[in-house]
Amino acid sequence: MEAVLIAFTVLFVLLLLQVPIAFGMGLVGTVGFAYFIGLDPALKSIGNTATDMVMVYDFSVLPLFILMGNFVARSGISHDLYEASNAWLGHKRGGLAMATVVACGGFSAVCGSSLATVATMAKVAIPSMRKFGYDEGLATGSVAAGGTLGILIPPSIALVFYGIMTETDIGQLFAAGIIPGILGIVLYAGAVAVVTRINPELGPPGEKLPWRDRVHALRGIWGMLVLFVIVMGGIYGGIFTPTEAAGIGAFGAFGIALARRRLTWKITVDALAETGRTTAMLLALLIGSLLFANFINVARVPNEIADWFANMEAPPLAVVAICIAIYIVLGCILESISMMLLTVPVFYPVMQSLGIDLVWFGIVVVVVIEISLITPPIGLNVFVLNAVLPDVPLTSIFRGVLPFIAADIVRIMLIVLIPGLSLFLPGLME
Amino acid sequence: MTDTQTAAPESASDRQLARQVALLDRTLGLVLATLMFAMMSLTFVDVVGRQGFGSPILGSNEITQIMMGMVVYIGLPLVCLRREHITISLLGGLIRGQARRWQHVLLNLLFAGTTFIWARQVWVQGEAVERSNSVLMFLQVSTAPYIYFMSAMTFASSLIFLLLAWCYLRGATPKADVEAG
Repeated sequence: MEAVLIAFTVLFVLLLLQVPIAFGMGLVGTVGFAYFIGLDPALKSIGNTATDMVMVYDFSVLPLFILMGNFVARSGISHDLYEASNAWLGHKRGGLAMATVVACGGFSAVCGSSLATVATMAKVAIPSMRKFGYDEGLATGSVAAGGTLGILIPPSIALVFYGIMTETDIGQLFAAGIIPGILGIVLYAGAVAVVTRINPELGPPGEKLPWRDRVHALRGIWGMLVLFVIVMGGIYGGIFTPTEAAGIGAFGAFGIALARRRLTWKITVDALAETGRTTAMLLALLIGSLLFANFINVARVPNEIADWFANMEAPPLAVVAICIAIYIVLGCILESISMMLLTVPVFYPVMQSLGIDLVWFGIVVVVVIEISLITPPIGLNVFVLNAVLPDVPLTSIFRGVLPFIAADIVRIMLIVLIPGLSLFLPGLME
Repeated sequence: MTDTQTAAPESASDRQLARQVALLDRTLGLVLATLMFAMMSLTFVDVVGRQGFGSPILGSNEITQIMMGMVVYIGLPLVCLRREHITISLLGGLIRGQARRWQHVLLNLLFAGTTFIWARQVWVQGEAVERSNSVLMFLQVSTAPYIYFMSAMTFASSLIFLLLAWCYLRGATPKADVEAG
């Protein structure tokens, strides 16, 4: 166990020195594996992992969903989504912030990335909220928090990674993410309602639109709704595998962006090349994490943790609570996907040995990771927002996300205590 | 968000290097974009063919499998060049001036070494696959040439890190650091 502790310490020092997480995990994993098994097998495992892992048909789900998100982000649909939510909610107290959360949720439904959701929605929602005199904290907080929905509401890149690492069915994971995702939207909107009830000046109501205009506002988003229904309905109904659905989704998003006349040659090449680079970056991370997982497994870390919990006779729920606490602490220093790749190989065998449902645990992990996207000091979404809106101080954004963190704590408690919230829909698929 | 050029190139050779780097970036980007478009179209046509007409594209899974490997390894040098790998920037602001310059030089040398070992091991894997004479079930082709290509692209990434280390050593700071997390 000393070797493992030293390895984790070295890894964190390397990461703090700004060694890319993929390289840090790969290096420490290889050296650790060599320490236990020998240098030759350790070197061989680099070659195996780095080639076998990238030539897997099922992994093409990753670039295809990322591409779908990239085309959606460039299709200008975010404006229509925001207008539609605004038409229905904008006249309420805090209504524009609620509309932001709903639009973020809608955008997440066709884009698997949290950062893309924040960067895109910030440009659309913030000017409108500023115009109506919204408090900067509430305005930016609703975008930063709304953006976190992107990694849970399917298609979700985090769930794809979790599925790959734990060999859990990605379709089931996607289905499991739907209700907790909707719950997230409802609770975030509830947080806005509470905050503006306490201090109505934070989010004054906008103008009320007649019903005709409200229905009219929905016209701009039907294409996206159809795409979501085809992609998710296809997976859910067992018509497509997630990979096939991703192909349909990417092509559909390309078609929508084309029909909306948003695609020039340069924009198209940019979206495609960016997808390729993101895929390379994520797969490098996956290779690094698998090399690290090899080491963790030969060092018998999951077994030792499982034995430790067994000796303590800790109930499974207490073990999950400890995991959540570890994620919240790690979330303060690590980026979301990296945190998942670093910890899941350690935790999932423990959960499996305790008889915990891995689909449910996946949702718990992703929701906790969502929280880490908005908590200080790292809170990646907050930094992305700060980069898009440099005139808003970081402290205002962190202050603004506090009510949403409270909503997230309520949500994680509900998801942990009522597993049916996650497992009801996957149960229907079987 | 990213820029692969170095700041204020001083000499003609610096400017030429910056141009060549930009050209490499554009060319690899275009190849990557073409591959991505092909992968998307192939999956779409395959699914429509399978679901709509009961006639999927034969061998499409294996073609996608190879394309996936190509996307990752053509993307790799680009990600290294643009420094888009995810890093933690928690202590980023604490190291400044000359210490920061040497940190960049040493780290890039470390990455060059890491990617060199990676490239070597992928090459060794390619040789093992070639020796085993194993072929893809449907396409009946060996994956060895593709694995050698992956090794070459990883080696290219290693050279890019050496180039970055050299740039930092000469005091040329690349315009934008891509740090997330």
